[in-house]
Amino acid sequence: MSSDTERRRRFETVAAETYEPLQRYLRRRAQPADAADVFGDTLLAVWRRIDDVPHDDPLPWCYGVARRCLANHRRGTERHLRLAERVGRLDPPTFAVDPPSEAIDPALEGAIESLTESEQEIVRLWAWERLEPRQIADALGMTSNAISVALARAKRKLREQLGDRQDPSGAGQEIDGRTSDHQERSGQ
Amino acid sequence: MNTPDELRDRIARLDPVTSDATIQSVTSPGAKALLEDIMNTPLSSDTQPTTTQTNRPWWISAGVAAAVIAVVAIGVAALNRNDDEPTIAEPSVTESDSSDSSATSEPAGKLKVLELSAGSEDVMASCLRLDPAMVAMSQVAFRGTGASVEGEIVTLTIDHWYVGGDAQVATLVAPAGMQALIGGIAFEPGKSYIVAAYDGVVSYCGLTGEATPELEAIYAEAFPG
Repeated sequence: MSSDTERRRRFETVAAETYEPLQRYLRRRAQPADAADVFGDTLLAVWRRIDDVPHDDPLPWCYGVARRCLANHRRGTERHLRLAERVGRLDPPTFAVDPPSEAIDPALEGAIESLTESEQEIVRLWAWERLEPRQIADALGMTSNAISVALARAKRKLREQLGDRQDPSGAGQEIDGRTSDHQERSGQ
Repeated sequence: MNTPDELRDRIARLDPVTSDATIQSVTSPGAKALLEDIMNTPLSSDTQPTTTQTNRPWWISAGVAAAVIAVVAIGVAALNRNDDEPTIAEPSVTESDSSDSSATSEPAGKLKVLELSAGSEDVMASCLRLDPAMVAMSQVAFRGTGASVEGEIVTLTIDHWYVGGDAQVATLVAPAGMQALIGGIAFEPGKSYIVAAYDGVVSYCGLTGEATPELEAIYAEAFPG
């Protein structure tokens, strides 16, 4: 275990790189109040496991922590709602991102909804967090190859849903680049 | 939309975070106060994040581990099913008449089958060091041999129960698209695996994996006798 001073310095370094991307990640996937709660939990989990945080590209790892904290939060909320349902009928809880007031691209939104939940998350990490397969693998604790295969399949499904069958080769393997949310935004 | 980047950009336009106006800067006073507060939080692993509402072990409740897999009851015939989206159900085990099934080589008579069905959540990343105390918290743990890997369904014949059941067969249904790859483990026929679960949720983080001598030793220490 590193000294307290070293831990603090390391955490501040990681926080500087992840603080804002983690907020976006959670805001994309949860209601604002839930996102705020889970954000605190995520930072706390990162602080407690600071010795495990990768020095090279910590953001995908931290996305994984946020994802787990959000899943815990949802499970707790779902349990609460199941109990409440015994008293009165409630709408099932939804934790999806707030839909835009007007559908921006209903065809694409429908196509994404047709994917499995795992595929949807992989696609979101790819397009919204701008992660490459290896980084998605870090976030989800899976192999790069498995992510590449799943992402390729998801893109093929989306193209089929959208009626775009002109580029079957486009469903191939991703180039394993390093572009990420914070890197892109910091360049804006 | 003929290139991957065009599809990516089109999906990116659905990003609900359209502005950073509500994103707090890490250099803001509020962020500094929050980070300082967190760094003053005790490091004890006994204290779970505030959203945790159960006393589950850290590798489940603290979100530090694992794909969520529910233990559900199925009939033997379900060994052959091929659902794209397996659903999570409450833990249970049923008995089935194996004479009705061609999907198992178990002897005729009552056959207990345990299905471990992958849920919608994916495996977690880094985990702490595995130790017997952690393993001993498992409610279900067994060693089994890979019998078949068909699409997203892995079938194991259970060779030894450490705790929590007496079924002879278990099936693991991988998430759609992750055929034969559950929790980062590539199951293969003929190989021996140890599978653990807690509160109906199979744990990874090393708790479930190929039955190496090291892993078996940890389980033997966790479940002596």
